[in-house]
Amino acid sequence: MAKKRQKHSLNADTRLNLTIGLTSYLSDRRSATLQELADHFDVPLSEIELGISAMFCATVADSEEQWAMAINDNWREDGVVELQSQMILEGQPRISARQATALASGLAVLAGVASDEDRGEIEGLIAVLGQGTVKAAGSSVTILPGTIDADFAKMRQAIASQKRVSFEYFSNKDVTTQREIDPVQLISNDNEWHVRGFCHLRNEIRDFKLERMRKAEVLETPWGAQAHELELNEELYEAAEDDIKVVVEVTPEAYDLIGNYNAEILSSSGLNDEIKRVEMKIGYLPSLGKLIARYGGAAKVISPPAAREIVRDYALKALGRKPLETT
Amino acid sequence: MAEKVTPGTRLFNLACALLYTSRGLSADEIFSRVAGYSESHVPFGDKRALNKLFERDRRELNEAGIIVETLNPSNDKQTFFYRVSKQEFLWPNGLHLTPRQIALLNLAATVWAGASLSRDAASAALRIRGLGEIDDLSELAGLAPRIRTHHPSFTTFSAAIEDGSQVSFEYRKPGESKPETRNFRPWHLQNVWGQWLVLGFDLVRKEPRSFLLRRVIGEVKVNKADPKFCSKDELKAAQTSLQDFIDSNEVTLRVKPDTSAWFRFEMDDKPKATPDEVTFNFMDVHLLADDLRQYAGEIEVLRPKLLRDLIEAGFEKVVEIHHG
Repeated sequence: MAKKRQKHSLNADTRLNLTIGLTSYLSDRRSATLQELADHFDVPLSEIELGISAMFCATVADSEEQWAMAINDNWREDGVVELQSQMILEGQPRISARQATALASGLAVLAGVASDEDRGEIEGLIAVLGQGTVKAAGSSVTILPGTIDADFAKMRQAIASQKRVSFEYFSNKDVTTQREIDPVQLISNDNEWHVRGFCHLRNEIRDFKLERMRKAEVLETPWGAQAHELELNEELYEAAEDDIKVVVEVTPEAYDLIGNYNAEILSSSGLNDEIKRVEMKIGYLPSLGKLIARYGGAAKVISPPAAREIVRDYALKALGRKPLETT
Repeated sequence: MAEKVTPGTRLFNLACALLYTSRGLSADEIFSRVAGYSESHVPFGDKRALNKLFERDRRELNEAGIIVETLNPSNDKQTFFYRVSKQEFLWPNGLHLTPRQIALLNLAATVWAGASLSRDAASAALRIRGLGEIDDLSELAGLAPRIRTHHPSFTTFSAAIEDGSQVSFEYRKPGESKPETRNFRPWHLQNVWGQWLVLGFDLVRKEPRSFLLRRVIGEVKVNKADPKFCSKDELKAAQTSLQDFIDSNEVTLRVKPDTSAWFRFEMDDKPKATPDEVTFNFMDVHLLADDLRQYAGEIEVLRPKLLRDLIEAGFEKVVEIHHG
């Protein structure tokens, strides 16, 4: 299993949700060490201490009586929290309709890729969450997953059994190479699946699009040390030092570019500020042609001039005309 | 209670107090009894500072997914009571989640990483973890499906659906330069192959409609409350008509071997009678044209002609705006 990322200090609302979570956890278990709580909630020890001290001080008033949660006085010194009684949050968590929607739609995405056995369980959970949003007809979000690539199952199997895979890969430079990788994670970008792993050809961590693979096979060779050490990073596209900065103007029809390339918004203009000027980092400039031209005018390259030319020439070539002379 | 009450503790105390009151608490009751407020409370004293503090805390709770509602039972517009909205989702009583279910919910929360509902999902996950032990999902390990929605309208539509509100927004039809105002009662958000649509009732045309989020221009305005929630049948009918529309749209392409398009359309697996042709359904011809412009020189559109024309018109536009 890959190393977990250590999260840094939390904001106020995350702290509050953590404290609510801690209360229901402890009312079920009654006692836990601070370290156990930090591990379970996957947050730093200092955040657990803040949460417990909030609980320690909590006094609640609904009538003339004052209620306090009874926690052992020496929890900080002992490193163990015991919840002796609490009359405040009885067991069941409350989550808002929006939180229920976020979870239900996340589950719907999972259902599209899970095994049959898990799918039953996931659909059961979706139904439970649907009960909460009584007014609307079930969950307020539906996700229809696209078709899953045939190589998907092989990659999953390789990740679960920590084995190496081989395949032919057609790169974005339109070159086919034979690859062997130790796959650690399958990541989707909406509908497009990538596998992230340690590539033995390039000797580094790489992302591969499933749709550009052919003849994938799970090998007998187990993962190497690099795959075990892989720090998982959430960003789909990681900018490299030598990436080229391209400034692009996008209207809403091309906002996808912002999310997919983690672009930075520089300014807004136009009706309702709909036009966003953004800076994106591009590793391989020739690929910009298809990336921008696909939007048919909803995305416009501002600079550098070389990037404008690439896009223009891609469109000219598509129309069967000759590239313009560079001035 | 010798320790000074920190803002985090005050917020938590307030949340607990408002969660577990059934009739609601008046501002005076909150100020006199909830630790964090009570220290600065003077009976019959000036309450302006406390009121301001309370308003700020309410906003903060709101952001954390705890919606505080205001009740005025005597209708006198003077005595207000506050409590956590009963519309809040309460976990069904007696339902016990297994460690495996908790783990699945946790994984579901990560699907929104960085996108529109990520804050709601992350805060829900923290509360869910409180339910007990968490399983190690070894066979789901390494799966990281992600929704990358960055449409600014998503959260407004989602809130309007849950609260039951009418909205208006500017919508630009493809090929037109000026958007049109739409008055709409949103019912449901639907993602079809990665594209987000909002389904609902067009209040001017008086019929169910669906709109693509990517064509919504600028902010969505939330108008008056509309308690008419759609029935399961109405929603089903809207979804069926969308599916019928998709089923009626068909495209056929000829694909050049050893190109990225050949991989994308999985041409290796196609029947041998027409080894380089592929036919499939699509939702929107303009979106498909956008998609296919990535494969210039690699594909030929055999039908429909409209698609071919749109792809070409888009390229003309690209050339025009990248001149000089």
